[in-house]
Parts: sequence; structure tokens; C-alpha cells
Amino acid sequence: MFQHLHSILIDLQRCEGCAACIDECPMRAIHLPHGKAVVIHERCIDCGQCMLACPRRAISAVTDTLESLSQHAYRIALLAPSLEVLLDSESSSGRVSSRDLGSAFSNLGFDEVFEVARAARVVAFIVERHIEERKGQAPLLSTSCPAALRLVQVRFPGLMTHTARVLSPMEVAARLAKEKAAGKTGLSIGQIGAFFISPCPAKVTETERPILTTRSAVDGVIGIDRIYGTVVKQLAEKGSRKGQYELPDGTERETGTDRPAQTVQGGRLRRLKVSGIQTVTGLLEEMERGRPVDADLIELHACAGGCLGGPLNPRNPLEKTTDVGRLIEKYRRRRGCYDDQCLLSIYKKRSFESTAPVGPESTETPKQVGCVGSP
Amino acid sequence: MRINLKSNYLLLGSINIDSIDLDVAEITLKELVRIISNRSTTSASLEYLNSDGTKLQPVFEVHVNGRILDLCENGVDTVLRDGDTVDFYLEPPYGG
Repeated sequence: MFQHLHSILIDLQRCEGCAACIDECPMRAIHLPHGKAVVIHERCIDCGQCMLACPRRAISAVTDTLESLSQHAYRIALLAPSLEVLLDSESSSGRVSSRDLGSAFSNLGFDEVFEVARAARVVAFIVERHIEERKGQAPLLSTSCPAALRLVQVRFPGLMTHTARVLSPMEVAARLAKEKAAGKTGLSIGQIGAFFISPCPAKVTETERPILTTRSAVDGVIGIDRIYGTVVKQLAEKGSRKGQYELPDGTERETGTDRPAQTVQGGRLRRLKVSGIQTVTGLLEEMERGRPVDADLIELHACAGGCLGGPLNPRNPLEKTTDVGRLIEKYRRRRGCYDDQCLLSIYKKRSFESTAPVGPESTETPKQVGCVGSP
Repeated sequence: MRINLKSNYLLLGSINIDSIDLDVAEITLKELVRIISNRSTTSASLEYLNSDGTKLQPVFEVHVNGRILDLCENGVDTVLRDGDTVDFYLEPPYGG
């Protein structure tokens, strides 16, 4: 993987120094020392807001390419949930079958696909148990958004003690997928590559400089924008079949409700969702000033509306969805892969809890590596 | 009065709007979502509120004048006035 400090790259030839990126940067991590935008690496959190703001498309994300797959004997595509929503929105039936999905990614060089949403369910279960057991400092901050987590680490290090002690869904997915593949193929874990198909640049930095673990299990991050057109074309040529969403053996139907998950003691888990980097920053500022927040868990997302608004998504999948109610119901009732007994068993193994120190002492200093975007 | 709206989905089912004009001086957020839901242009209107009407469904995130609704003292009973801005975000479960 190309070594760089951040995944944001500025093309100095395209940059005209208009400063639109500076206006949008929540961290004041861009300046114009010679009339061209340059990233201040100690401050950048790879949220990608600059990418969205640049009228000249001079800012891009450095992600891996499909060529990276050749380094591994067995290749797994970890699908971001927002990618599934995007692909479903392209299908006339509103749902892409897992068989067609597997086939499309097979044509790209992958041996199987693994839905990160499955791992998100595992992470949610672990966090609920942590809250019950009063682990960490309440309210807990979610770990799924690396840009938000990096924001806390860089700008609000005193709040790092609130971070849930659990790996992100992407990291958990990589571990689960590799373990399953090793059992199926007889290959060693080291021969298996797990590649996250990502809606955001911060995931690249998360794998290269993880916060909650000493070493990422993800072998590469490929931007959704890099493969989306090819996948959609293949799905269109194949013709997505209507009908049941195919599932691995042993799955059960999850029927969600509109109520938050209940803890074992019967109390209600109080979740607070906060999205948009400015809103997230505002809340963290209030917490830093000592304002109490009435929640057990705060789910932070740097992008407004969550990962559906990720900078590497080719479009917002909801912009043309006319029956949003059906979409909500479909994803609420999506079949799960793990029942409660299985989740409890996973939890007791403690395999997915963070292994790196999480606290103000984990604030990093920038490494001396080649910096992208420097003149 | 006029309430400014922003969303990441089509608020009225098949079309989107960036504001709504109402013949009242003020309205609660709860009443606003009922109006928006009733004006849906598709056959199925969206249920914004939970079963007892006290909170928004978990898939929605709403900001009122840049402030998270869940942190507003009155929640869905927050009063809106002319010129206020309400942002609606829809996040499918596990939408990462």
C-alpha cells in the first residue's frame, strides 16, 4: 500500500487557490502558503469535506486499486452498507440478489463478498453489553466513523475516554470474514486479503494508522467510486433477479421495531445520532465544557446523513428513491447472520475489543513520511 | 410563516421541497412532520413518529436551526417559527 500520512491528495496543477476547501474544512487543516492549497497534516482528519467543496475537483482520495488483490491467494470484498443501498437503488426490483452481487464482484477479481452490516450488528451487541456493564465513560462514543474518531483524538483528546472499547464494523468484518474463509479454504489468515469498498477516504487512514488496534486486519481500501460503474454495468447486463435475498446457511430473520434495543436488565438503550462534521464538533465542544448529554451511546458521523453522504459515493442513493418507507422497512427487516446466542459467544471471546490505549495519551504525533499535496 | 427545509431524501415521496409555507404563526415539529407526511405524493406516507408519538423513529435524524432535535429541551414538541430551518436526514439501519 502506498505510504502516505493522509488519504487526501491535492492536485496542485488543478488547484486555483480559491480557498473553497478552507471554508469547509472543520479542522482548519488547509492553508495557501504559495497560492495553492496545502494540507496541514497534524490537523487533517480525512473527512473529505474539502473534496466535496472543491469546484475544480483538485482534491481526491488516495485509495487502493484492484491491482492490490493480486498479493493475496483469496480475496474478500467487504461491502459498506451504503454501497448495498446504492446498488439496490439501481435495481428495478429494489433489491440486488446476493448471487448477482457475488458474481459482479467475482468479475472484479474477488472470491467472495462479506456485508459489513453483519459486523455492525456484532459491534452494536458488544456496545450494548459494555453499557450494561458500565465499561468506559458514559456516554459512549461510537467507533464506526474514523473521521469523527480522529476529530475526537486530535481536537478533543480529553473525550477519548468516552470512546467505546470496540473495533469498528469494518475491522470486525475483516476478522470475521477472514476467519470464515480460512476455515472454508484451508488457507492461512495471512494468505487471505480483505478489501473494504469504501464511501469515504478516512477509512484508508484508519487502516494505515488505526486508533483502536495496533494493526488493521483490512488489507486495502478501494473507493466505491472506483468500482461502482463497472459493478452497475455488470448487474444491468446480468439482469438482477427478483425474489428472495439469498442468505448464508443458519441465518434468521431479524424483525426490527422502532424502539431502541433493550438491555438485559430491561432498561432502554438511549442512542443519540449526530451527523455532519459541524454538528458533531458543536456537540463535542459542549461535552468538553461539561454539558451532560442524556444518552448511553452517541453515534457520530462526519457526513450529514451518515455514510450515505460519503464523499466517495457516486451519488446519494436516496435522491431518487420514491418509496422511502418501503426502503426503511426492508433494511429494518433484513435477515441477520447471528442470533443472540452466537452474538453472546462472540462477545465472550473478547476478540473485537480495542487493543490500543484509548485516552488522551493516544493522541498521535505526525510521522515523518512523504506528504501528499505538498508543493 | 415559512419553514426552510433540507433533507437527504425526497420529503414528499416523489418530489423534494426546500421550504413549506403555513397559515399559522407557529407550529411544533410533531405537527410539521404530520403535515409533510400527509402531503406525500406517493400512496404510502412516511411514519416519522414512534408508536406513542413522543419521539422520532430511530432512522431519522433531525436538526432544528443547526441543533440536534434530541438535545432540544422539548424534543418533538419544539416550537417552530417563521424562518426556522429544519434538516431531515434518513439513515437506514447499519447504513455505514
